[in-house]
Amino acid sequence: MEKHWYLVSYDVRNPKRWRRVYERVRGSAERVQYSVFRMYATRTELEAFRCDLVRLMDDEDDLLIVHLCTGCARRVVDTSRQQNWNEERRQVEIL
Amino acid sequence: MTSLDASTPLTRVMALHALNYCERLFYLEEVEEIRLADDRVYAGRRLHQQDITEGIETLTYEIESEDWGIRGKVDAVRYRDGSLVAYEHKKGRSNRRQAWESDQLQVIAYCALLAEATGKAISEGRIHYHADNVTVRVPFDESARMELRAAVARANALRQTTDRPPLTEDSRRCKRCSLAPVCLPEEERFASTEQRETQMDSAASPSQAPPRLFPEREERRVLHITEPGSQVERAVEQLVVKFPDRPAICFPGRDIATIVLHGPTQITTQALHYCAANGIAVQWLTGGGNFVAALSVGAPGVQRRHRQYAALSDPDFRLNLARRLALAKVENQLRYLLRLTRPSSGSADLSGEARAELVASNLARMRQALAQLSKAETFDAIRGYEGQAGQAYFEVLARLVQVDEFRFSGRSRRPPRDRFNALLSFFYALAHKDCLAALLSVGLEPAFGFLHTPRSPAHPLALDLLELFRVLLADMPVLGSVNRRQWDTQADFIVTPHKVWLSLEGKRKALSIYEERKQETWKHPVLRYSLSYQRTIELEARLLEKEWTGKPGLFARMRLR
Ligand code: SF4
Repeated sequence: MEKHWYLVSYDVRNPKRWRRVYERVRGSAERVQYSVFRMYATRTELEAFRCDLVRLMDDEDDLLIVHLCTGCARRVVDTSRQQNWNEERRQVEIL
Repeated sequence: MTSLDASTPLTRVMALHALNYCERLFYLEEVEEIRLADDRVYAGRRLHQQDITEGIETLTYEIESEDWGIRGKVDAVRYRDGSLVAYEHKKGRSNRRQAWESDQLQVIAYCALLAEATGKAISEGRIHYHADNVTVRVPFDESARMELRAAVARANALRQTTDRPPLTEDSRRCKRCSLAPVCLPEEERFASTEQRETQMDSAASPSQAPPRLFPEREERRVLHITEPGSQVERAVEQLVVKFPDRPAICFPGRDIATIVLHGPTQITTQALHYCAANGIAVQWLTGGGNFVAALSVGAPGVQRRHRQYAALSDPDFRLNLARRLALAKVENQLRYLLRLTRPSSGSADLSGEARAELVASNLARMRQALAQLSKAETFDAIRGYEGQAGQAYFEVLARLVQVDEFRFSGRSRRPPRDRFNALLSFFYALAHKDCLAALLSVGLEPAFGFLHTPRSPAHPLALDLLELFRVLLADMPVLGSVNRRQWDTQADFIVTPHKVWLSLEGKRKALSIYEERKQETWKHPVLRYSLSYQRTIELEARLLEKEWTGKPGLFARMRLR
């Protein structure tokens, strides 16, 4: 299945829930700015992610997920990091 | 009435849904305990968590019934016209304003549970389909009760057998089935049509390539930890790699498929727990790349072991499989050499008369071994011809090395005596590790092979599977990289009079070449769809299991073009 870039942002009212949501988001996404993350995921991964967040969040909290097509991802302006969003991510890391 | 003894587990209502959808699906999920959620499953689960019945008080009851032999969570219960009604919510559409059969069975089961738990008479259940906003009423009457009894009895009967039920008749269901990559229904159907065609032995058009439900590549990443003294830790949902003298690197945990720990590197118990819980495989290798141990994820599957033992205990069956595998190996070796020595390939320096003659005579030896292999009637004979072909193969391969420092004279295993053999050994070890991991994740017993004998300590079945990949994943990338002069003859190797092995630098280079190779996609010559070599290992492991489960005949037919 194909992977796509998603921009993830959330607003959680209660600090305890915020912490839990924050940790879960970091399990799938990389932090770009405060409460703004980028995620490179398949449909299945995205749905699993949403499923977990629904459980952690409350009605008064908000979640925003923006799907970026390849063209959009390439045109992202992001001064916080060196790489572009269009890089083919390395499948293997040798550390 | 179903007679239940205490050892028969209660069937989950969700499982009845699966049973009605496809008996094999029920068997894989409930009996073999293979579960794979896809996006639709998660989306459905999310629907159940969000409050879908806005404004109306809903409760979820967990109920079980010894009498019915089932247990389950009832979504919502409401009073309608003075009597209780079980509600079930579905994300999808209705079947043209009717309920789908499997949904119907599910809601009947909920009615039965509710009736028993409350002691009240229940006359109907309702299913709400959200996509087209349709509510369907399902009567809970005598025929519904009979249907439920029959389904539970069928579920219990299936639990008793070690045989996987056949594919569903309706191939459209497979396209929506989350277990298709495990079940490989289209490959099985392909094998059937192929058999039919060869039986008719006609000029019939070759069978169509099966539609692919098997994913082309693994989407998550592989981490190789090679730096001595580094450690993998867990930070809630992240995996953090710490190094002795540079900043740590964090990875989102859900993005990792495998962690490979080379030599003196560490992983914490907390990180291991996280890996086990999230389906991340962990493998420990020696500094030299040899397999030590693995944390493998995947259902243990006693039924699969049963079938494997039964099949591989049959000497004729084993012999046939061993012959097929040996043929595959030798043919791949031969094809590779032919490709390299083709005059047009330009890669071979075979100008000398003597050399050309040597190559020709060795190729002839291999062809002869092939011919005899196909008639071989004993394991010793198979191994003998395979060995002869292997010798001839390496004699030619040695002549195709164009870089002086890498020249070698035949294969030396333990220990490798030259650089080329050191590379081969390392690559074989890596491929062996991946074959072993694939077998474990498929649920096969790696200690019980068919070509390699159970005496061998190195997981004979993994060695068997490796035979298919030696040329593709090791010989080709090794010879290619050597001739492209990708190696530093000094920095990448440690050379002593009796032994040559790879330095840390060399190992890293080898890992990146090997992993790159694994990501390359190719077209499977029999199934005719393309996938990465990495996925091919798992595919062949699954096809191997099909040799004794379902449709045989597809394993070990992959060939180099
Ligand atoms: S892929 Fe098809 S045959 Fe296999 S379990 Fe799913 S529905 Fe049944």
